[in-house]
Amino acid sequence: MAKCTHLAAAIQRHTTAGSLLLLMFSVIIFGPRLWDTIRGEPWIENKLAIVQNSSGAIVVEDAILTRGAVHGLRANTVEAEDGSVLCSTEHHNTWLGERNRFWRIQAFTGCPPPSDPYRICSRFVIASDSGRQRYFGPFCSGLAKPE
Amino acid sequence: MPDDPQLWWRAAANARSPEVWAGILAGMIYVYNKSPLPARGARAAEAMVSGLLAYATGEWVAAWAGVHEAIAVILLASLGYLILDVARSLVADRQILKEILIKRLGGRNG
Repeated sequence: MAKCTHLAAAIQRHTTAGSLLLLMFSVIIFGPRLWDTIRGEPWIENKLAIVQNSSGAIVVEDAILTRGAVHGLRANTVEAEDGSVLCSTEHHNTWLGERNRFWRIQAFTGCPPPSDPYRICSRFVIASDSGRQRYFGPFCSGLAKPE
Repeated sequence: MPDDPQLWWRAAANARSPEVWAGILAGMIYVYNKSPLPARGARAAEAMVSGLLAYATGEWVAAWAGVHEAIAVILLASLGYLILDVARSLVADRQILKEILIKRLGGRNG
């Protein structure tokens, strides 16, 4: 049977300690990103809105969409009109698929709604399969003007 | 006009930091030393191919992998030629590889 002489010669040329070391470094440096590309990067989309429910209370509508199960840290903030953070809260969670929830502002952000115009924002720190961290957000609601 | 900033080589040199150029050069020297070819010109050409590959793709690969560009170009310049060399040998042996595959899959050649 014929042999792959060119391929055998190329492999022989490159199976030296130096090349193997460089290949190992490449796997260490590029491997995690390559693995995430093959497996699919974690991804999360969030839409926030400050709305009034049927009983007249102000609540946060929190719609989340993910591709696959996503695990990470979420930081929710109340921000003034100029973007300064008035208060915040954070928690770890796992999100999967599409979900839409309504929260009281105090439960969502850890502080009561301010008397000045404000918006609600969320930021996510998501870990990929290989352990790389990715940042998503800020996802912000529109500006709410308390009466 | 050697001081003309529009000269292409000056623009190309200024497009990368000294660390990145050091990384490209390190990879090129490695390829030059490793080359099995006896002629110096051919070895230099191999090293040049690797260096140009690293220069052309280093910025994109570094951003993609989230690493410093100098790290990316060292690996690209050192391994770029290895990947090309293996790919070239696969193309050179394509007929034999095709026969082996057909045989393994139980088919008949021709």
